[in-house]
Parts: sequence; C-alpha cells; structure tokens
Amino acid sequence: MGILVNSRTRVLCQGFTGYRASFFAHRAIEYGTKIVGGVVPGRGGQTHLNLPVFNTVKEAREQTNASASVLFVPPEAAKDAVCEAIDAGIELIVCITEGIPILDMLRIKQHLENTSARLIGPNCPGIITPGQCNIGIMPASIYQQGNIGVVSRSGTLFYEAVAQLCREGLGQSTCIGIGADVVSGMTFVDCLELFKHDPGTEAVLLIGEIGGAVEEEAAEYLSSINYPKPVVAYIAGRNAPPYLRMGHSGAIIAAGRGGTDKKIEALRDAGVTVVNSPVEIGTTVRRAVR
Amino acid sequence: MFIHEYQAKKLLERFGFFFPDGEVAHSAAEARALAERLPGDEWVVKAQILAGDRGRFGGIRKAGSASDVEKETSNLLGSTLVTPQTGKDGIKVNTVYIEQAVKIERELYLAILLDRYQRELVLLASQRGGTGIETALEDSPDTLHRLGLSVDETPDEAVLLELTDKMGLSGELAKEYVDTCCDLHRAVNDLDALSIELNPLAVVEENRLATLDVKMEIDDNALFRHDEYSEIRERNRLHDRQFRAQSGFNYVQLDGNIGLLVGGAGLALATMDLLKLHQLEPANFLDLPPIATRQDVANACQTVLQGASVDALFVNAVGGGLTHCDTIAEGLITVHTQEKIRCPIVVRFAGTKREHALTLLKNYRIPIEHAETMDQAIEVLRRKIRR
Repeated sequence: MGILVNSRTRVLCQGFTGYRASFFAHRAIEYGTKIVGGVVPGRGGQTHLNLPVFNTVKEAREQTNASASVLFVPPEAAKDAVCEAIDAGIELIVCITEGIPILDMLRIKQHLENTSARLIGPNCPGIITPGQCNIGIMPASIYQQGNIGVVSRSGTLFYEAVAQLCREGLGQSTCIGIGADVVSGMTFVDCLELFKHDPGTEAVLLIGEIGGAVEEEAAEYLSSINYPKPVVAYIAGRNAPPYLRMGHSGAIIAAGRGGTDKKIEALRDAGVTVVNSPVEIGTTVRRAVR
Repeated sequence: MFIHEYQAKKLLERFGFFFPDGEVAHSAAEARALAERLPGDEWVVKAQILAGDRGRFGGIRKAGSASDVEKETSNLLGSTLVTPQTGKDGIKVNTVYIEQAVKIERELYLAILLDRYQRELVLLASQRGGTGIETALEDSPDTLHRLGLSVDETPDEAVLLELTDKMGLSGELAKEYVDTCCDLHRAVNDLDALSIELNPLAVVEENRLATLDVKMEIDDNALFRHDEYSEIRERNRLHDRQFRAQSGFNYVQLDGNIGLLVGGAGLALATMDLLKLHQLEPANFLDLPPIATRQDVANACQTVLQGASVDALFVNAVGGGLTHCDTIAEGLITVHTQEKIRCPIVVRFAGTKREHALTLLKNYRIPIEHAETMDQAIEVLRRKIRR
C-alpha cells in the first residue's frame, strides 16, 4: 500500500530532455516507475529515453493517460508549467524546481484552489513508495518497503532519518519530501490525513524544522481528531541563531513565532513523540511501533 | 534581501508615492553640497544600514543648516550603530541619505508583505506609525488592521475606504490613502517584493500623505526578471551580516570552534543541535546550494576555515538528491591542495558515492578521521577537541 503513488501510477516528466531530468527519469525507470513520456514545448514528436515527447501536458495526458507529473523546469518557467499541469487534469504534481519567485508560488496556490490537483514541493526531493514508484531525486537505494510513513521538509535530513529507520529494520510505506519553502503545496496535515486512511501505514514520522507554521498546524490537526496511529517528530534548528534565515527561505523566526520550542510543545501536547536528538530518530520510531 | 531606504525610494519613485526630496551622500562635503541644493531650511541625515529602529538609536539626525548637515554626516559616517535589530556588534555606517525635513502632523503605518505563517499576501495598516511600532503593536494589537490580498487582483476599493475610516482619514486624504494602498500593491507585484513597509506614512503640511521611511525586502528568487537588482545586490552584499556568496551558499558565523561543512540546511540544523546536545559549539551555520559543484564546496570550506577560530572541521554529508559525497570530497581536496588544512578533520559520509568519496580522500592523502554515524563523529570530535 502507501499513499499517492504506487506501481500503477503513470508519470509524465516536464522538462524531460534536460540533463537533470534525464538523469533522474532514467533512474526512476530503472527502479520500475512507470514514466510514460515527457513534455518539452517545441520538442513534440521526438523520442527521449525511448519515450514520447509532447508539446503540451494536455496532449501528453490524452495520449498516455498519465495521472502524475514531475517538473524539472527552470524557475522562470515553473509557474506556467505547474498551472498547465493543473489545467490538464494531472492529479499529482511534483515540483523539484528550486528558486521559484514567491509571488509565482502564491499565483500557483490560487490556481490550485477549487481543483482536485495536489502539489508536492517546490524545491523538494519528491515522493517514493519503496519498491513501487520513485518520483523525484531521492536515492532509491536507501529506502526499504515497510509500514512507516515519512514526511519531511528537509531533503538531506530526510535521507538521514530514513537510513536510521532502515538500521532499525523499519521499512517505509511512502516517503514524501514536501520542501521547506515559505509557500508550497502539500503540508504535514495533508499527508497525515492520507496516512490515516492507509492500511499499509502503521506509524508516521514527521521531520520538521524552524520557520513557518506547518508543524503547529499538524499539532492542531492531531489534537482535533483521535489520530489512530503513533506519530513521531523531529524538529531541527533548536540552536539556530534567531536571525538565521535559511537558504531555502522557509525557516525564519519572526516575532517569536516559528521557533522550535513552540513547535515541539504543540506537538507534544497533541500526543506526538518528539525526538530530542537527531541520532535517535530511528530508535524512537521503533519504540513507538512496538 | 533587504535593501536600503534610499534604494527602496528610488525603486518606488515610478509608482506615484510622495517622498520628501532627498539624495544619498558618502562624504560630509557631499552632504553639505546636497543640503545647499535641496529645498527647505531643515534637513534629516539618515544612516543607511540594513536594520531598523535607527531613529531611537541615533541613526537619524536633524540639521538646521548646511554646516549642521556636514557635521552630522561626519559624525555618522564610519560610526557603528547598535540597535535591537543589528546584533550586539552593530553595523558600520558607510552611506547617509540627506532628506528635506517636513512638518509631520500624524504618523501612520502601512505595509504589504508576505505573511509567512498564513502563506498569503497581506496589507497591514495602523493608525500608530513611526519608531517603536513593533512594541506599540505588541501592547495593543487591536490597532493593527490586516487585510488578505490576492497577488494579481487590485485590492477592493470599498474595503480600502473602510480602512481609511479606521485610520481617521477623510476627504482628499482618504482618497490619497486608497491610492497609496493600490500603488503599494502594484509595487509589490511589479518589484517582486516580499515586504514593503511605509513607516511612517505621514500626514504632512498641505494635507498630504508623505512616505518618510521605507523598509523593503525583495525576493532573491526573482532576480532573474529584474536587471535593476544586480547592482543593489553587489553593493549590499559587502555589508550584510549573513550573505550569500556568488556560489549561492548561505553562511552565518557563530561563536563556537567547530567548523561545519554540511550538505543541506536541514542536516546542518540537526548537526548544530547534536553538537549542542554534547556541549560542543558550532563555529558557523552553512547551507550548501542543492546542486553544489566542487568549487562551491571548496569556497564554502574556505569560508568556514577563515571564520574566527576553528579548532576542528566536521564534514557531514548524506549523498542523495543533487549533491553526492564525492563532490564534497573533491571540494575538500581542492582546498587542502591549495593550502593544507591544519585542524583535525572529521568526516561522516553516507549515501550516494560514499565509497568513492572516501577513496578519493585516501588517494589524495587528506588527513581525515571517518565516522560511520553522527554519534561516532561526535565522539571523535570530543576526543580531538580535548587534545
């Protein structure tokens, strides 16, 4: 099981012929992901990695019946590319692109409203259901099949956490890197809601960090319902200097908000087991599930 | 990035805001000449630093004659201003803005900015403006009015008119206020600003609304569509406490003695937390760009080592995503072959290209100690530091 993607998910790649897109699409195909084609304006009719290239997402969707799309387009083109995917009826949009102007992200969010499309990212590593489907830039070899759902804002810390889970013999149902930009698509709450209904997920691990409010929102959500599965969280940045603004611009402490203390307190109050040390993520999840 | 008041005023000129006449000066003589040319008989000398609360801490001075302007400028230039927003070391003043003084009747606060918590654009308006607005609003938050805005749609005029009521403005002033709100929205949009704060927005003589000070942040991600920002960026980079070097890495110097070269912001934060849990002190925060090259890593490593007092270097990388362990190793090799790294180096590699990275370090005889996990790395660091 797992959420959002599985072995039957048909995936398009926007910006398909670029160097990075080619590299990761190739890796995804090797992993068994059903990449069914790509979209590059002006390159329609060509073939790349033995797959068809289309001029538009609409055309690609009609021809391939894809339901997901992964974007490796440059930041200048990202807003139009995401909106095009939404308009074409793509259900899951995974945006790897880094450095999208924030106003463009607000425009994308407005465009997403009142549609059923889901956006993961931008500036994120993607999503993987181990053994079935890998969309994005995650090193698939470190993941194992299992029943821990993982959601992370950070990329590298995500891999660290997964490595710790595997050391404890804990595989993963689905892992989602939601990115840490100020304005992005799916949040912890969206992922928790999906994991709640997934019979293949036994517990959920959240990897958060300073800045923003998605951890507090998760705490609020978990407090408001009787969440049926154990939730463990690690929040990075307890010792970040107060004026630190992160490279991926999500983490800012402003007016006493966004700091780790309040996030940790809120999560603990909501019944979440919060890991104290970043080296104890794996062992804490193991204790939570057994 | 935040930009200086004078830079913001220049950028905002074309949107129809009313500013008192003013110009920038880099020397006392230049300031005097400006005062002689600018209209009026009273001027304000304003230190241009990238931090707020200048008014309360001596960064804004009135001058009643051209020679006073000269005197105040010479006092300010080269001095270091310490405000609650500068950090304890303060910021050195290199530039001043000389502005015609105006008679202020009332001070308001008006801003449009990105609410990082609600993730939307908001207009914030208060009847209370000027210095100390932050604390004033903390004391009485109900005097701050908040209005969610769409990015592309002009704000609703009826709603803005309601706001003028709350601001205690009527007639021509109310109309001017509505226009100012719309201009501000257009400016945020056109300039890709993350925040533009008009503080104070003042009612001045002849019943006009004048913007006396501006605090503005522009979106680094949008630089590609604003050629006009490259010069500002270059100029300000030199004076920014936290800077993004040309290679795009994010670096903050801290007080500790363990230099950190870590791939990815999240892992870097976690590494800092882990050090602190074990009573070790990081010398810096560093966030490599998602796609780092060998040269990026080398530049970052050099920056870390040049930081105040690094007794050990901790290289922590989990290969994956867009940067692999071997790139980090190559960066380290580049630095070491140029000038030997003298402090102990503790390396923890995991994930993609780990083996290759370790082989590279061995082949180039880089004196490192490798740790399999972060726990082990901490143990090694403690041992090295104790020596």
